[in-house]
Amino acid sequence: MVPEELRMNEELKNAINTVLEQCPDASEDDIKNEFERYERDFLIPPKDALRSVLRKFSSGDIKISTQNTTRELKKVEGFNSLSGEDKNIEIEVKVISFNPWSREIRGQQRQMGYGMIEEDPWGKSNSRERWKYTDWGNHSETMKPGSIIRIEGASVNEYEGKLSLNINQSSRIVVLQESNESIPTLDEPINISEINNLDGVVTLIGRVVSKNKNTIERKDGSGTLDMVKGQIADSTGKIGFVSWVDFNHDIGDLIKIEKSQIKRFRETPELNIGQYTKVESFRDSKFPSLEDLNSSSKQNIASLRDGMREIDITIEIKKWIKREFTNDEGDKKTVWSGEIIDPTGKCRMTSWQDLEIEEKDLPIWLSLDKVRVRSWQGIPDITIDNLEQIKKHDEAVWESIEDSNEFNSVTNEEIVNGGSRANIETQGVIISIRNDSGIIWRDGNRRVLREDDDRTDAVKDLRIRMIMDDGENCISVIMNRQSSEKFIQKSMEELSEELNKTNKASFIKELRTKLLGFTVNLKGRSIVDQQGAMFLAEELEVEEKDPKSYAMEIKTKWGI
Amino acid sequence: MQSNFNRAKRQPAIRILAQEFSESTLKQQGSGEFDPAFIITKLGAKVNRLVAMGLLELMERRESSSGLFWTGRIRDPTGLHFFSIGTFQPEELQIQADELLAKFQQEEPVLIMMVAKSSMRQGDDGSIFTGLRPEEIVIINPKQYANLLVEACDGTLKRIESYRNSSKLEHDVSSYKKAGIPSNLIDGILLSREHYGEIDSEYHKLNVLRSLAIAEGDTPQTKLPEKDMTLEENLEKSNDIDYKTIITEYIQQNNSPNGTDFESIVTHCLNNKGEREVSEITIENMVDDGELFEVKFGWYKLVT
Repeated sequence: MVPEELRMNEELKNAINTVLEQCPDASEDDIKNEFERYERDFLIPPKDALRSVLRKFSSGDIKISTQNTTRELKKVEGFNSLSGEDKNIEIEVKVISFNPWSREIRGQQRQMGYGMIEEDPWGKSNSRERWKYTDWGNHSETMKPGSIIRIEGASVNEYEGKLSLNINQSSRIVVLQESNESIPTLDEPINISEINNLDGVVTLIGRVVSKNKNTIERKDGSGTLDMVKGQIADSTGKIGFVSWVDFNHDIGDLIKIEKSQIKRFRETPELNIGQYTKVESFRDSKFPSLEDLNSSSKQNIASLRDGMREIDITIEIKKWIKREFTNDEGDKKTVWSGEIIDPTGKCRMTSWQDLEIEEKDLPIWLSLDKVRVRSWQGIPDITIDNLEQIKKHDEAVWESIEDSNEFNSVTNEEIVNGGSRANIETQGVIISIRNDSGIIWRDGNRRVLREDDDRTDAVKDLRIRMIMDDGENCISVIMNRQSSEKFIQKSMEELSEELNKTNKASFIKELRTKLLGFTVNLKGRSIVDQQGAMFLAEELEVEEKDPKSYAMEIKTKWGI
Repeated sequence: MQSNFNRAKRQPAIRILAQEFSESTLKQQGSGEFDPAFIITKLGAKVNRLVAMGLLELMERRESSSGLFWTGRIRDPTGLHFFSIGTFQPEELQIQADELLAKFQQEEPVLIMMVAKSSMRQGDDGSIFTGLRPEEIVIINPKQYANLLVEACDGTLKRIESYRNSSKLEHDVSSYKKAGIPSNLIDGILLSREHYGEIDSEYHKLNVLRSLAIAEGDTPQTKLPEKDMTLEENLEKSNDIDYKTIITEYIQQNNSPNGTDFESIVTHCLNNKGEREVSEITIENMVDDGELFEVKFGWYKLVT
């Protein structure tokens, strides 16, 4: 075994020798110094710096020649316009058959396929020719028998005078018409908690926890429609469902719902059970009982989302104010609202009933039963419609939480998968700066004007937009004028004046140098919707990370 | 069928070292027109976007019938990334490319971070090349480079562990899920197994260890011992191997109309106890000496 030190020195010696061989005129000391500089100042070991050092000491550049490889795309209607030399072809065909086939290429198993395709899939002519094809690119997902596809970037293969089509790995297949043939799909049941991030059709297993029959009027006034609304739960959460067909399962029943469409009411997903959905009883003795599910389905503030219904939650009231107003019809109305808190966060609460809570009695703890959630500017607001929904606690449920504007630390993943939240803090690496950062103009409706829009009556504003990413989740980050000014340590007017002398591009460039690739600490609030997660940063701080301790942390984390 | 219609959702930038990315040969493209394309690595990363970091080893501006373009290479402790910037990309990026080219031509070491879309192309003979289409390029300092390396190691270690844990399981979604394989890796690992078979992740782990050591910066390799040490011996050792003959024979045996590709020649040398750098340099020397002909970028034929 070669000692580490010796091995490393060998690496340097070999590198120096290689350079010397190539550039006999160079001095050994200079080469050594250059390698040392690469390693000391740029963390590039000799082995990796070799080519760069060589380039420096060799008189001419190391030239790498290339050929122009762009080829003309050849669009054809039928097979008869193809010849054995043709490459990069685009053609529309019908897939007749697909036979999967695996072959070893360069030591690796590759999934391929072969079969027949038919020209003229839309039936423009009377006679249709069929060709053999070979798929080198694992297109089995798209090349389903019976479907009509457009192949882009195929080439003709000629073997013993017979022509066939090669569908290469780089070829693109566009499905123009799905096959009518039924293709079995794997219907893996998923957990209820996963539905928050999904759309489309899902299968799941859960227990019915509530069920109500409803009748609604058809919008066109042509009669009424029966429906069943309720909730089902598993160990990961609870979700509402609406059934438009007969639903013959009772509260407590364990059921499997196959092919149910996810619909959304505001940001809250709901299962839609229609004629294509299959609902059947399911047996699993280990599935949590109704009691267990009910007791574990209590929510906390961090998990609240706009549009949630039938929420059970315990909260502490920090502020409570009575407001009177006159509505559009001229009636006097009273509404109570305030701030509530629990160990996971803070949000708002509104009541249309007098809860008989005085400001002087605060803090007070309430357990809320089957309340609903609305959201305003991303901050959840619990609505209380009647007095049966609340239960006052005589004693503190937890030690009163200091409302100190403290920021709860959360991960990128929690932000992306959670609801909108205020007063949070998170870390991530900035990987993109949007070019529309900087000075902008807004019209009366706060709409951002484009470069060529009329700016009379427009108001100047400042913002910085970027993307934070931890390798698994992306969050779009926005800093408003106030926090941008704080970060660039200039007022908007100062920046505006500066940009008159330089330009916007140099401002963006400066932001890139300051932020790209750096880990930042953000404080502010998040807004999460179908478009993804957005973070409104009140404060941005670039973190100074020490690579040595960071490396140590990662080594400990993975036990190496 | 579970499907995700959130087309507008941005794909995360995978933290990955060059070796894991460049050895990939599997591309996954959904059937929809706007479905994102992924390159599936052996460790099961689904790479649509990635963060690359390292030394800018080569940068060139070239001209083709479709206009100007820039190509280059980034070297990290585990290998190379190839990137190209075309005129179809935003103007800011083209300006940046020219700035970077100028910097490169000053022959000063330049460390960069690149956020890029993954790409893959296939040669006519079926060989596969991975590449980067940059979205953001920024010159970084060594400290940032070290931190980004550690981050990529963290990501790689997570994949290695998940891959190893998956080995003893039934290879389907529900078993992986039950065993706690992270949800963003389940699909990728299943695809990897189908395409690459069972792989040995030890090599990836060695690369991680090397990168971590470099990031920690406490294993300088540029300290030469006193002169009397075995300089001659080393020279002899590296001269033991006749690279030229190995390369010539290999190309003769694997002759094809399009030539033989760079990477498989180097791999052949490595298999014959050769070293990567020396093989790379020998190939270039042979081109310079007129013994090899570079048919097109990275493809060689013997001059007969």
